[in-house]
Amino acid sequence: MLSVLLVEDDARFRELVAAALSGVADMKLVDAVDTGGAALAALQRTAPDVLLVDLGLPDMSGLEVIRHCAAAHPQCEIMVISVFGDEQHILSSIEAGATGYLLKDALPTDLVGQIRTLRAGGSPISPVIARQLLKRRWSEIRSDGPPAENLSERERSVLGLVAKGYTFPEIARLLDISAHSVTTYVKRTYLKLHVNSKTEAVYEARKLGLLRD
Amino acid sequence: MKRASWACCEISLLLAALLAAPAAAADRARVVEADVAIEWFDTQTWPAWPREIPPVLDWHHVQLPYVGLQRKPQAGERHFARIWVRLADIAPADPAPRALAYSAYLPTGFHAVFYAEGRQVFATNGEMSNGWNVPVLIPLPPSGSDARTLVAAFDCYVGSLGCGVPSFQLGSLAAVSIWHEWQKLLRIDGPRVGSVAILIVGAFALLTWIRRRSESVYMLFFIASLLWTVRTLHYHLPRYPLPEAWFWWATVCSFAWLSVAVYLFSFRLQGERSPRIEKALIIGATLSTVLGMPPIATDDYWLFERLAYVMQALISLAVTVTLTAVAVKRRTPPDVVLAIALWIMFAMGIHDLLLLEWNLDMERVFLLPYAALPLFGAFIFSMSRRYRRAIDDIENVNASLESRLEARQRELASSYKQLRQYEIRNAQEQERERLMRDMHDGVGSSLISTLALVERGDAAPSMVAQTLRDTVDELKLTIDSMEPIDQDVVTLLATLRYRMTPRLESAGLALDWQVNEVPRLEWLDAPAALQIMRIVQECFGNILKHAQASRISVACSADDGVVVRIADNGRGFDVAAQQSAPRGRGLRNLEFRAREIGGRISITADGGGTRIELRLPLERRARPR
Repeated sequence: MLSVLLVEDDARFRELVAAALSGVADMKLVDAVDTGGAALAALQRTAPDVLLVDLGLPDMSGLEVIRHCAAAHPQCEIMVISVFGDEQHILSSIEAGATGYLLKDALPTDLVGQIRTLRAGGSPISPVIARQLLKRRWSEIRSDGPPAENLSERERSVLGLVAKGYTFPEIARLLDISAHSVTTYVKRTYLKLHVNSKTEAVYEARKLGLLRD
Repeated sequence: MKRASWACCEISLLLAALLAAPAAAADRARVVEADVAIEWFDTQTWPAWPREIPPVLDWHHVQLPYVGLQRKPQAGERHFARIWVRLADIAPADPAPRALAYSAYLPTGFHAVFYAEGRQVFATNGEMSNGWNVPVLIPLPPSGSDARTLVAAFDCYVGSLGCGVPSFQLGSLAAVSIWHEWQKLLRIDGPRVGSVAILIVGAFALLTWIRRRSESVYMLFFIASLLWTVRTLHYHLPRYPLPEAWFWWATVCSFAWLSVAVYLFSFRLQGERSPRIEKALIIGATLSTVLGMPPIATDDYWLFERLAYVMQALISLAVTVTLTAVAVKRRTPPDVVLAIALWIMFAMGIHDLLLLEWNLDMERVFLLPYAALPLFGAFIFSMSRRYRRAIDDIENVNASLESRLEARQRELASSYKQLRQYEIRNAQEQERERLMRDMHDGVGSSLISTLALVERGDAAPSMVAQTLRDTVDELKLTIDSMEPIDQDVVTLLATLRYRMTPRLESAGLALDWQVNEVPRLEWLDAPAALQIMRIVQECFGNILKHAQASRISVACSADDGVVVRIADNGRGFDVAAQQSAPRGRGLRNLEFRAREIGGRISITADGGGTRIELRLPLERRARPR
């Protein structure tokens, strides 16, 4: 049984999610809260398998909730709810620790499918995000900082094809791998981005004297 | 003898005294007493030296150095003398090898022969070296012989300069050799080395002058260094390189011209010119050159030489005083150094003139060979100062250039910043206008018309949903057009596909995606991206609505532009009829949008489907407003 925690300040949307999950045998909405503060408490209490979180919360940024969840519950899949899936919001969520995102308008039809895919290790990705990930300077190694996680050759080719608009099945065919592998490459990329941004944050904090060695 | 106090000028002698080994000095004694006898001859050719000392000589006891013959012989008196000198009691105190040496500036005789116990033991053989400035070392017979006296004969031209007998250094061979070496260093080697050094500096000056013809000071310096070398030849040259008369003429003339060159040079170095003095110098030098030539010179050459020297001394004094006045007035280091150098030169010249006139100890070292050194030092000082100044100037110029460059860069940066701010403001303004227009025409009007339908109560929920979905699509399109696609058409198409895939899939349409890398389009900003997206979306929309196709292919490639091809396998349509039809707004709209971004669109259709080709230019002229 998959436990799902929803953090969303839009009541109608909470209802929609509740409705979508109500008929699913192996999923359970353990709580649906509307503030970041309540979310942190609920995370502590319920330790869900999946966190659905909106970025625009009344008391704090959804990114805070994501960061907290990624640190305290690393086994939890974090899925950001976004209206447009625009690059800026999605990338900062991934850096904070999210591995999937959900477009609000796709919700009624596909929420359950997307949660399952995410649990199975598949993350969605848009061409613009793929392009931005490829452009990032992954291997920037600082002499006094931790070594950065770099992208593998495969991950790069997957991102490159995504950026050109190819779908996962097409990419699988082109690279002669399974469609499932394609999605796991994407997820691995997301995790590397998260790790890098975390070590970068530690590095920056240490540089500013906020952290001790 | 009158002894002027020239001690201060005798740095070289002092140095020699300091350096001479004291231990060796103990084995050496100065012989200051002798018996002297003089034979007079009428002709310039002295009779050959006798194998033995003539028995009849009128010996008398004198102190050495003996200067009894400096007086010019009167008319009727004889000019050529052979001076016999007898040193008594030179018996060795120990059996070590012994030697005798002497050294004097003044003529001690052009040829000399030494007898020990009546037999010749040594004879000079030079033309000019032995009686003239060159120290002489005479190894004495082995101590085994019982020589107790030594007799020397000097053949002298008493003529005009007179003649003298120096004192002798007697002692162990080692001690006397050291003394002799020191004398040689001071009188021969020093001037020789000085000449070479000055020639090298002169060569430097010549090279400089060749590249900088306008600066005559360098040329004058080179000439001076040459003349100086000629002038000092007679101090150290072992043989005359010219016939004797011409050699002495060259020596005296070179001195006259040297004075000219040195003073012209000094004036130019100070930047002062005195045409009168320069003219006088040149006339004087020319006169002495012409009058001194052996064919027309007076018999009494030494008189001519002496006159020339005295005249030069007076001119030197005048020039030195003039340039000193300049130095006192200006007080700049090069002027002061030059004035001091000229005074030192002048003092050295006077010293030597006095020596020549028997007013000083005849064993003193001639100083003029060293007189050039202060002057050349002043030249080098002045040149190095110029050089330093030049480097400083260059550095200053560089520094000022740098600071000017920095100032320009700051100006540029600030105007660039202003330009950027203006551009940003402008872009924001345009973007706001565009968004307002889009909201007004697109999302806004859709929402308003849907709202009206809903309020009238005759809107079917499915229709409302469809209208809202279209509105959301429109909104997404606008947002996607602002995503960072980096002017890449492929990313733009990819984004569009990502958005539309669910719709196309639900309509059962297969998509054949054939995109290649294409060059970035610098002009592809958000409004242009939106236009392209709308064109492609409209094409998809038309296919979904009208074509009844099962497959769409999208290709993107580049030749002289970027080409996007969208083809379906639907039923096609009559393009011409559609374009001219009053309701054929869709196609005209596509064409309008393509033109807006500087592109072209071509549509062909037949029974096998529709093919739309959008051609985008690689570069685009300024967008019409």
